Amino acid sequence: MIPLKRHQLDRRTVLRGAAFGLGATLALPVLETMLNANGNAFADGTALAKRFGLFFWGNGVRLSAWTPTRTGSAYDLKTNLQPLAPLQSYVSVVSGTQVKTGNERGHHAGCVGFLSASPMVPQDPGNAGYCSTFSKPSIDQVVAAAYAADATKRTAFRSLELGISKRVITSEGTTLNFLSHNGPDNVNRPLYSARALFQRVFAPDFVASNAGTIDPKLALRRQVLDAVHADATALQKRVSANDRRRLDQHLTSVSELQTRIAALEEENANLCSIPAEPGEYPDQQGVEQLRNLTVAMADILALALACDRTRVFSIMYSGSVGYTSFDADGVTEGSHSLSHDEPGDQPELTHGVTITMQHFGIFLERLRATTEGASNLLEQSAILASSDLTQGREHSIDDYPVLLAGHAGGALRGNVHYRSTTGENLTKVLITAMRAVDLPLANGFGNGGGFATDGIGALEV
Amino acid sequence: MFRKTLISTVLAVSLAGCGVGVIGEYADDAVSPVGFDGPRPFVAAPAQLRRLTVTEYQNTLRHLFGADINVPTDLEGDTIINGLEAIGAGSTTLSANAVEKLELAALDVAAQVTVSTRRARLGVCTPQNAGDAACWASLTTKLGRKIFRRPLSSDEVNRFAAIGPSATNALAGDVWQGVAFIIGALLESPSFLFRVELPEPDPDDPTRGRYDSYAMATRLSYFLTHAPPDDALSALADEDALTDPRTVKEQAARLLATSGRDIALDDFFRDWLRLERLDDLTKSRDLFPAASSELGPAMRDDILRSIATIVGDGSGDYRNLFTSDVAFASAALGPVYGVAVTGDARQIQVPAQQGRVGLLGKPGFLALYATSERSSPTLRGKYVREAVLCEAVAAPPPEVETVVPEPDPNAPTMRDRLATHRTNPTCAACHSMMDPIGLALESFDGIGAHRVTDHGATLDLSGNIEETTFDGLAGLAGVLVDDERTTNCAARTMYRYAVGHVESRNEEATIIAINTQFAAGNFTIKALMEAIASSDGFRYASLAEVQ
Repeated sequence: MIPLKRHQLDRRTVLRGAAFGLGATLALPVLETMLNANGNAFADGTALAKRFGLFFWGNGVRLSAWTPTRTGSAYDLKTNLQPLAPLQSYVSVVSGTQVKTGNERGHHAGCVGFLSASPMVPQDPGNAGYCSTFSKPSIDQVVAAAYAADATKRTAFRSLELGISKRVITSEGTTLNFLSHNGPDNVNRPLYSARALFQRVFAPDFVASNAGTIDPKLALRRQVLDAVHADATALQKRVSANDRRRLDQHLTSVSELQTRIAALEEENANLCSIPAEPGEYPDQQGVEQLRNLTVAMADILALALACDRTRVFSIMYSGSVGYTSFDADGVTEGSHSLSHDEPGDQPELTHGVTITMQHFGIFLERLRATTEGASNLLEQSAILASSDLTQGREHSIDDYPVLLAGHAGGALRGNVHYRSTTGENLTKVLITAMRAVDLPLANGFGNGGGFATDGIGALEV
Repeated sequence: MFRKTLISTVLAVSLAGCGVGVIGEYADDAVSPVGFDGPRPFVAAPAQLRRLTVTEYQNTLRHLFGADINVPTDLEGDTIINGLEAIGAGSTTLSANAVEKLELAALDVAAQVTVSTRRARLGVCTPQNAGDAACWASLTTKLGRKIFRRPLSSDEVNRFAAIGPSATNALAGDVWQGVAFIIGALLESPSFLFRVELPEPDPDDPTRGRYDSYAMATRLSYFLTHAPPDDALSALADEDALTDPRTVKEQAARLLATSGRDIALDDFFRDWLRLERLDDLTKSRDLFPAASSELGPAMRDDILRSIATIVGDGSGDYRNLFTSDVAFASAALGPVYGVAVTGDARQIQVPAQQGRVGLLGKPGFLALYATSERSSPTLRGKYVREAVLCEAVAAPPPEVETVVPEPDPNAPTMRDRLATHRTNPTCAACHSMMDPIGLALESFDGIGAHRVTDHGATLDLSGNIEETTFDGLAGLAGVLVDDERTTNCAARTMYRYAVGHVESRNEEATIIAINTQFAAGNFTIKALMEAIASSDGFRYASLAEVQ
């Protein structure tokens, strides 16, 4: 049996009747009575949980519509960032930093550099179509692994992966196809359906019922997984080093599932009652329902975080080189071709980035509206948002467009525009974000040119 | 006249200045394996675990338990690496979410196949009770042999059989629940989910490895029929008869005469041509009135049905794929072909003046390799280089402006608008490989419809591949079928599909041998599949990594 965390056991059934929809404030698993007088920690002094997230969109920005003119606090919002005005106190902008892991291939290098601070692995054997993968885990998995190794931070899901636009490039390797990586060719695919995400996080198969009896099949499922585990371990002895690593991932996946099933057998394991199933948002006449899907996904993500089903998430809003179009907002051409072909100041491309920020704002607003004692989920989070390059037209990776949202339980200032005038390493922003959610990174972070030791103090409290 | 050797191909493309990964050149070695001294001797690649692709998984369940079971569909998809899902299956992992889905799928299938109406089909003993050790062991042995595609060790039999009594006891003494949980466990195991193909020392030369008979049974059956080994193949594996090249050849011929071959061919073309993107084809509805959500799927069906018609039972010439005028259109696709069609798809006669032939004239190809608003000679040319000729094109260098100017009266056509690609030497190094191919296809617009002018200007359809010039699609198709790179590339691509990895330079000799047999067999798909199935690369594996 896996012992549940002490404070979780008191969090039963609090989400019952929770209303879906943007703006509604949810009742919460963390109750006021469990907290200290200030409502900012548990009564015994334990801090409220921190959460870590990534938000990614493809094909960069037009810097003229992105970068604030003023630096420091209360910076000005250019067109792209106007949708985030109500949340500005939570959002810092970083400009002028550079991906230092090289730019051997447009789009690919920036994805891997931003998401992992390590060089990409080119996969061009012979004359096969080029593709690439990550050399190291993406930072959501760095945080997820640290939390999974800490009994006070472990959750049912190491991480959750969401995708919004399906117009992604599948043919150039895992780099463009997926955000969350455990290692080379080893990915955590996003779910593109709100219902699928709901079923994964809240479906009866993975959440204990209220019936008060323990389904005997749960123990059998764990026994079956024991046999599966033994099969994988035996197989590891007979295969190549690379295949052993692949089976390691399999064993990790099997163990996570066993842990989750074991938690279902715990008495009082029902931490949150199950909310209503969300709708489906299929393409209509070939047009993606980006906004509706974003709203539904934000609801489920907020619930998953509030119920402590996970503390780590990644949102692949649109793909690198992706062909997302914003038809509902009058942009009918795909964003990758716009980034290269649209002349002048690229108004259509820019409008697409503004819509992307609107939708990022929907996620942030949902987290902000989900209170946790005197705090809220956005207050408790560090969420890094960026793209696969700076400006698509030149495939540039200097002056990278980066946002850092959330106060990470008081570790991040928010409402700062930090502009690096010396072309500092983008990894420093990653370090700030991860240290804000309590990863020490005592020896620095990153590999090759991406290695750095310091964060960016101006963003930190 | 035409370049006939690999060597001159290497030179020609290197001279163009865009020399990444052309035929016979490998990232791990600057020296061509097909150098002036001829090919290197063959050295086998390491064995690799290959996860069953989604369609292999579903097919396998149908073959194991009957076509009437509801096969799971809520599964994590496959990942394309180096152009093929078959290669991704040999290198990617199963994520946490994939394992969750496979657990539910396994238990669901296990429940289905142990219902009272289906259990007799399993052909196993019925345990008297939880304590019927002999029967639990017997049924585990029998089911395990089929599900793992090899016999289980006694440890394995004990491990899986022990689940039966546990489940029986936990679930009201129902022995069939016990059987179901054993089946579930087998179906969740990596030994089922991965094709485990292991080498053994070759008795003729113990320093080299060959796939053992069980491995050969799965390699042959999944490659040639997209399904697990049938009874005959399993029996030959049990007799250890599949290390004999003559038996392998006989079995390949037998399997190629079954209907499984059609399924395998469908899967190969599906994987190679990457047609799933047609499902969400995005085209400007203002510019292209024919655009609809039904259009992309109709385009995909046209391509797959045309291929099936041309290739038939495998005895047709592969090169006909580039010259045939077979086409199928539904009401949604008719307008793009310029042919009125009502209702469902039927075979149509495309007006001859369009000059529309072969795969490269398919609206699906022309629309995919275009933007949402216009044609793209660059994307079309890149596709021909990569998928038809097996030549990689380097990525554009960073910090280069890539904007394509809008049409204007002085530059109405794509040939005019892409002038910088020819005049700027940095661009020309690679674009001279791509644009001259795509510009010959400009008589087809961004959705694949025929046109004779672009923005009012008459189109110049001249093109070239290296020094060979041609005019329009029909001219291009004629050049491609005369170029041995086209058939070599088909062989190379199918080899990768069959073995699940991109060949190393040490496997070039086996590809050359396959090419020779392909040519000797008049370039029929059947000849190619037989050549691959009996090739050294298919039968041998390195022992270096074996524990």
